[in-house]
Amino acid sequence: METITQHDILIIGGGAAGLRAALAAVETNPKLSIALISKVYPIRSHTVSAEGGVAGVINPEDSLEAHAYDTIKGSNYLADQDAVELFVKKAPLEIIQIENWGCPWSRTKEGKIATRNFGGMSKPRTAYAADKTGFYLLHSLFERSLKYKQITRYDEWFVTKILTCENQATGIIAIQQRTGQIFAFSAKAIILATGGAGYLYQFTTNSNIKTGDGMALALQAGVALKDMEFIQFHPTGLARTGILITEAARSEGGYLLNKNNDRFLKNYAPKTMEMSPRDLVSQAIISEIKAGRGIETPYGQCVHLDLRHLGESLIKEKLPLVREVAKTYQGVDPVYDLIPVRPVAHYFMGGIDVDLKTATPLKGLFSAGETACLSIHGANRLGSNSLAECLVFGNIAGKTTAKFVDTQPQNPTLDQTQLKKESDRLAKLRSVSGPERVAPLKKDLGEMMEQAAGLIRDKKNLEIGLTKLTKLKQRYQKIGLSDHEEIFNTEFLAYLELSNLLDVAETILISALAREESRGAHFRTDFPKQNNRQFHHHHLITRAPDGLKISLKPVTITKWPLP
Amino acid sequence: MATTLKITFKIKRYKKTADEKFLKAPYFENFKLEVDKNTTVLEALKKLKALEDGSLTFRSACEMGMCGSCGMIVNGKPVLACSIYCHDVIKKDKTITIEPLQNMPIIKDLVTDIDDPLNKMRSVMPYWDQKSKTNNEPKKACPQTPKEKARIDEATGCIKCMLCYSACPVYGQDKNFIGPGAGTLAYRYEADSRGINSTEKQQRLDKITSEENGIWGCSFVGDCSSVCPKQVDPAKALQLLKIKGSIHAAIKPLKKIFTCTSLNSSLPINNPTASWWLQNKTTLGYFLRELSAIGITLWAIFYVLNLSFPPLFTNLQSLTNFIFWFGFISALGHSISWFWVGLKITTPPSPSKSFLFLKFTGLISGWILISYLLISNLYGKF
Repeated sequence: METITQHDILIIGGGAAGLRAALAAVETNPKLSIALISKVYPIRSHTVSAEGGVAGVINPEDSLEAHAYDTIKGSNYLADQDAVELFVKKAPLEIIQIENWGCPWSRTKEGKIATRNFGGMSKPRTAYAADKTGFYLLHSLFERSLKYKQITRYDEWFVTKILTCENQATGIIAIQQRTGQIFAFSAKAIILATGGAGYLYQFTTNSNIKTGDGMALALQAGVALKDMEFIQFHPTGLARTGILITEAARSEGGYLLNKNNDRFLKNYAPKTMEMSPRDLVSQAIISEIKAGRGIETPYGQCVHLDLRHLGESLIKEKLPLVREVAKTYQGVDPVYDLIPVRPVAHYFMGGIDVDLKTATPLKGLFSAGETACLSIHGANRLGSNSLAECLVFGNIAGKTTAKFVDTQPQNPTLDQTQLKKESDRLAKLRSVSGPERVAPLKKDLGEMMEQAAGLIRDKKNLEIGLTKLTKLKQRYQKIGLSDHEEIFNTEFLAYLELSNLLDVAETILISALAREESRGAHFRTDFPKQNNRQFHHHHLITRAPDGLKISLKPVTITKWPLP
Repeated sequence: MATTLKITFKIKRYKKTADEKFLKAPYFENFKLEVDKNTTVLEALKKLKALEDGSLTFRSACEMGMCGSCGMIVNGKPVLACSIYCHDVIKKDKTITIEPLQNMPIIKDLVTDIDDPLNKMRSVMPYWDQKSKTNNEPKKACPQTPKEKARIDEATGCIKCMLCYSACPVYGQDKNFIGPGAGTLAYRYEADSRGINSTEKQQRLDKITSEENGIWGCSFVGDCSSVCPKQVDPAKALQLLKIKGSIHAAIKPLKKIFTCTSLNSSLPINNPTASWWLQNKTTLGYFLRELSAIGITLWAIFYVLNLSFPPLFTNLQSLTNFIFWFGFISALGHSISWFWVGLKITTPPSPSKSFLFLKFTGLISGWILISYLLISNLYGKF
């Protein structure tokens, strides 16, 4: 680690938020040198799996107020309303910007960007590109980023530590997977855009690359994580694999049916039916299954998603991916068959605590996308708000850092003792030996999280979860690696990722235990009611010398008071 | 009931140490695993990594066929490992062979280096900036009808998994060939109705029609399309691109003359690139020489068509006469301009004597042939 690579801005994560930030920064100030560091090629980022669309007010009959109100109502009034107002104002501009860059949005007959309904949205305001919106979006952003020579891509580099000095982020340490060598980077600003930690759960829509790296890095650097107990369970994951069946399937007219072929949501949300917010639909499915009206499958109890009445041509035009994955991974053709689905871990509403400019309290450290929490999603995210969030706050993060960099005369010098310590630590970890293996430990962690911090939680299970976690952490210390190569050592990478997952898991369990109420995605059987008097606040969780510490942060309210 | 099968996985392994001292050729290693019918090849690999050998290395991410990480060759065919079931591809002797993608360097085991295809994709400039946009103008969405969008629906589906580069025999032979993936990407931005006025269009067309590393290497084998997991059809995109490229190459010189922004600069004399032939007498000579050559060619084509018996155009006597005289004048003009220009050409540095002799004899015999044909047509055989 003799040489230290210098850049103005380091962006960690190459998904929608990271790429958008890079583009915003380079377009704000073309003189900047920007590094885009990602542990996979940016086109492999999990944004490709987003399906439904991007929310934004682009129809004349729609209004910003309505979008803001829907988002806040959907969040169970836990969203910060100033953030939501900023978000809804910028979202339409982003949709148009991406269009200008070439994103192939689906169109109306007149050639305008088409919109569809989405759960919890009072008007059709979700712009979409068939049912592969995330994929088209990511590739449009990636292709655009190829224009700029100022953006240096570090593909397949894994960041292990954020270096700090006197309450300022000064750089990072990263492993180049291709060579296995360790490098240090110094920068004036760092943006974390690494996504959530959905891989924490055994049954998830998320890629196996979503291991909460950014959250764990921030936590280690002393930055607070916010609202970690709120994890969205998507109502319709394919029963066997958990692959996402987009909400668009329901917005195009799909039904959810129980064992008796009843549209059971009439008993839970007669007005909005299948287009209710996700927390409500997921909990309704669980209630049906508990009442014995679920469908028995080899993979557990399910309900059915019925698209047969939509017809082949509509499915072909608007839901091609749903058909493709249902055929490939479940062996059913939605044109003729029912799709077995069940709720599946999908999205982290919580994340790194940032302000409206995406800055963390640590100087020089910024964050955007799923890994950040402003919060605009509160206790439950509305579908299609997340891609919009990646674009809006990715853009803001890029612009903010570009301006912040101007105020910094030169790159900070790195603390040599920290560098030495980290490279020694990594060298030691690379050759660990012991009886435990990475994969079984990850599996046990996934099962523990499903039981303790799944869709339905209570004090007893959460406490059991915490005990199990302590044991898992002890087992982690005894892990031995069988691959001691330096070049492309994926086992070593999984070992480092597992450490991040364990860190994030602890924050979730502790926050969930502290929130003794039910709100949005956080459903406690021992406290089934929402308790605004005691719990209408955010949970901040920070690392202290004696473990994790919870503090409270008030919710910002502007126009929409609690009902 | 889920039935299980015990399958032998023959996996190609390759390792090199960091100092690259101990290079060892790739070798096959056998693993046995019990799998049910719901196990994809990727899931089997993950199980093998967890249970048998932690150093078995491959890429994976989304496990739903969207990210394109897990491209590898299974039983000789490039596939996404996450979308293929073991029971479907098993051979008669209950084995499955797994190899890394071809035509690119192996980094380790099943992980290959895709940087070259990715750089080729960058080289076709997959982006655009509309010309007449001022910064003050609020941005608007560019209209596009579903019909216009349908033209790019196939090409936009490319997930850049690089299976086509592994399948392409031309890319395997010649790494300068732009390849199916980059060709598809270029076509996607060429055919998009929104990119008509973009500044990158000309450069992109120049790039793809360039001799060195353009699209012309494509010999339409079509393997790229047959292995594409997303039905993108790169072979079709490349053929359509060839048409676009040919038109571009043909009209590019004309465009330089006619597509000028203002009347004044449209006059060839004011436009240095369009008026190259007006620069001095020599250039004018070149111009006349080439122009008259076109006349001779036209006459030659006409003559060949008229060789049939009875001649095709006998009842169009005036046209026939015109063409003959046209050819004759062209030939005359060509010979005059040739000598005019030829006198001024400085001899190239030390050409070999055999070359000069060949050139001389070739020219003389050519001239004799053309003169004979012309005169015999005008005055009858003698």
